[in-house]
Amino acid sequence: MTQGVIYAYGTSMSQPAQKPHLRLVAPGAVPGDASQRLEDLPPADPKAAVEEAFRRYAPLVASLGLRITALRDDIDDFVQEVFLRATRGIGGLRHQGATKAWLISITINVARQRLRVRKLRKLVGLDVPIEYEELVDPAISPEDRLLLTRMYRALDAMPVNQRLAWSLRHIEGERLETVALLCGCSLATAKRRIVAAQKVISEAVG
Amino acid sequence: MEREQMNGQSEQRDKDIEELPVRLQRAVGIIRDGVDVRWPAGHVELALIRLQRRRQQRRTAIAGGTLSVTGAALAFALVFGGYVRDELAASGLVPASSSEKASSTSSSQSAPAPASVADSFAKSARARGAPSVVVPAPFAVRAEPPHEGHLLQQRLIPRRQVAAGRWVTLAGERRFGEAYGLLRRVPLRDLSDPDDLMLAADVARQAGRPDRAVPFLERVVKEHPSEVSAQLAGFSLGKIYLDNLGAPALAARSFAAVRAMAPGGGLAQDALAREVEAWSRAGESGRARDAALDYSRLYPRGRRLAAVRDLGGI
Repeated sequence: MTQGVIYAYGTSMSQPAQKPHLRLVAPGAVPGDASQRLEDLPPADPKAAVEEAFRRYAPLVASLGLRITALRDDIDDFVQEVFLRATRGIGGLRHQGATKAWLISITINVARQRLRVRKLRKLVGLDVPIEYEELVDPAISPEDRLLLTRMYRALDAMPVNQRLAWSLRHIEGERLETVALLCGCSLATAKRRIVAAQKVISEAVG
Repeated sequence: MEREQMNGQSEQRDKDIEELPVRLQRAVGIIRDGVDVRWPAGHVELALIRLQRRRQQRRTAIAGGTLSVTGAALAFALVFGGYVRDELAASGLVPASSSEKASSTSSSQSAPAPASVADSFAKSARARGAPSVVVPAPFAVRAEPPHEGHLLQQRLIPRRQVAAGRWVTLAGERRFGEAYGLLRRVPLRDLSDPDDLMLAADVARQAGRPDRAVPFLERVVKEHPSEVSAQLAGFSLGKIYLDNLGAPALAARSFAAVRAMAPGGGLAQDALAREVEAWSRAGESGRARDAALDYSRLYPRGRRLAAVRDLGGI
């Protein structure tokens, strides 16, 4: 199901739960007349394309990365890593309209890698504890901050793939098909991961 | 029956996915609304500059790694090459070198060894009564006799070349003192890329020699004015003139140049504020006042408004 399918963005990532961001389209079925629109053409100059993508999407990548990983201190480095990877592959993009969706998928991959490294560091006792309360505005009530801390600790405790699937579904408000696509798994597996993660979080948050 | 059961499980799973407990919904809401990255104006441009520099560093690190591997291979060949060749020659896989042949010929005159594969082929053909064969030139290739000092010559890689490849790697490892030591051997004309020049300036500053960063930064501003790095270079130049070299008038001109390059750029506001400070420190109260008035007009809610008003005397 996931192979041979490309995805395109519909609405902004800044309003996560309201509308699905990605919609599936058949391979080669680029919406509209592909020969007429600039964004359907491949990027002419990859270096310039990365710079343009950085200016447009770096804040989005940073916000998404922060919500999923909660690694606030490393977020600049996180964004750099995403765009360094993008630099290597942007020449292969078939049309510029896919840049955003493609960057999101790189962001998820980098987030997965960072979370796994963090788990490994924790395992060998090298992990630096994160102050989750500092992720939000200090004006937020202590109760809400406690809730946030519990939530992220529960997310930390579960396998990375479950965490990603649940975060994409419930924090980012993505459709299940999109979650499966971004996680690189089948729809059934994505559902199983989300349910398993939700069970752990529900127990932790209460 | 079994199918119905499976369908039932699937529906229950979908229901579990869609329904979040109230407290969980609240927690998710906090994350959606509160966990966000708010980059100040101009941060994207600065982050882009860092990305370009990191990309450059990665490229040079790969080049440095290749250089290291090549160097190691060369060293291995120098140390063990002769041994391997002798072993192969002894086993008959490759023809022996002429020096070895000369020694073997002198030591056993009664049974001279064939000089090469071509020689032995010609001799065996003559023994069989075949007509004499003129060996074509390519078959008669012999190893060049080693001349004195050839090993030494192979080892000589220009120091400048080593320095050019290595200082970037050291800078990437934050070993700025060593990087600066090598950077001094690299002629200034060899550096032309703005990212290289910016990195060189950073190395000089981090090594405690901000005065040596000036030529690099000046070149970025003069030679690459359309690059985003030029704004950062101009700003850094102003800071060095102001904070390290005690030249506030030059600093003010550098900050003014940053604004001129990109009036709406991410550094324009800070550059104007620093320009006020620089003119004030240079004793040019009139210019400081003019710049301060500009700041108040352009950025009425600017971060440095209070300090600018104070320094500009308005």
